[in-house]
Amino acid sequence: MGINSYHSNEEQKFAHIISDLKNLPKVKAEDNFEFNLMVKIRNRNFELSVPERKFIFNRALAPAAAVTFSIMIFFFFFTESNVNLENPFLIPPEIRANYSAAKTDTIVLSQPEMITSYSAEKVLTQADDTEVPPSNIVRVVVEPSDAVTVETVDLPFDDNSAVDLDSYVTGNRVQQNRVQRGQLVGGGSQPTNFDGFFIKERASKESIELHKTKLDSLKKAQKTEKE
Amino acid sequence: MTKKLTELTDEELIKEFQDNETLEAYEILVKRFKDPLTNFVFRFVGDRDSSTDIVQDTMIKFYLNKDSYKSFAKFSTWIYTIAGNLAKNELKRRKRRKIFSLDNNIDDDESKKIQIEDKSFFEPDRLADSNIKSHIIQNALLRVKPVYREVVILRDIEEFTYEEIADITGLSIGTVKSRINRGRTQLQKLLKNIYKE
Repeated sequence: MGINSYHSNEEQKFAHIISDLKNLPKVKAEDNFEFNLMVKIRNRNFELSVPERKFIFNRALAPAAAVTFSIMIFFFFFTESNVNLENPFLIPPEIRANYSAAKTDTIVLSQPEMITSYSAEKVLTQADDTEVPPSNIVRVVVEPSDAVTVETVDLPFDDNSAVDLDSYVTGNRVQQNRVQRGQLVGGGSQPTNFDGFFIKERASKESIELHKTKLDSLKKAQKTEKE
Repeated sequence: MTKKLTELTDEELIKEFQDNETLEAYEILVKRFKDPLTNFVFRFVGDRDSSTDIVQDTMIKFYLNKDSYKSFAKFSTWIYTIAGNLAKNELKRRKRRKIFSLDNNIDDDESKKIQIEDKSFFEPDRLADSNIKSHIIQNALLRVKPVYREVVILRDIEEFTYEEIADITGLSIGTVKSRINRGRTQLQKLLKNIYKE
């Protein structure tokens, strides 16, 4: 707290102010300052006379907060009527246009312009009573000549007509030995049983030597035949 | 040979208080700092009662939070930081009260303004009186922005170094110097009638 030896030109410029400030009378604490303090400490009365600020809200942010709040209120109350809250379960489903087709039938509509607002089954009954099973998948195409093309589809994928790759691979041969049977994909809805892993056994030395001797004898026999 | 407690430095005393909770060490520190802190706070807030309360609060905070003092800092800068923060809180509280108060009579700044700037208010012989002059300077000081006022008081009244002021306020030395310069300039403008002669 000693006197600083730093004296710049700035300090010389304000020399009279600095000297006046230094010569201001020193204010001293009250005589009973220590007594009051020690009483507070002994009584554990630590409540500060100047309460500390616990919540600090910058007043400069008040206009921004007000604008944000008013915008929120505006959107919440005044734009609510524009929102269309329809129950999605009450909306009729839209017609799906694209399906793969196998068969094609053509029907003429008496009121073709209504096709967009009707479901596929309704349109078909409105036309010339072509019998189309309701379970079949149909494709409805609106043509410029006000005709509707109905295409019935027979898809090959079904539980009853599943492809059994084993039958293609084995050529419908029935293998009695389950070990030799190499089933790739099971057909139908029946799951295949897991047969387990099989370890390939190595040939023994004796059998190899036996085969070698057989081969040697065969080669010798061929040579003698040629000669 | 053990020293007497009164011969110990501030830092040694607070170490003693921290380690052994020696109340006597605390009392010695209170005795050493009560007057300079009261002077600093009074010059900052301009009110005797408030300054006494603030210094009391400072000492209570020091008592309760003695362990938050770290030995690498000077004790004087640490205790002045506490006092300065409490004084700033008091000024903010007053400002809030002034804003929300419907009674305009609380604001007596205008009357102070007249006292400072109207030279004819005082007779020349009375102006020479040191008490009145110090009163005028104090009023002018209170009209300087608090951010500048604090550093001017610490530098020119409490005679701290720039480094110590930077430690107390948590500012860089460059900022401290510029704030002191601005504070002095404001003060000079406020007291121009006194320094004309």
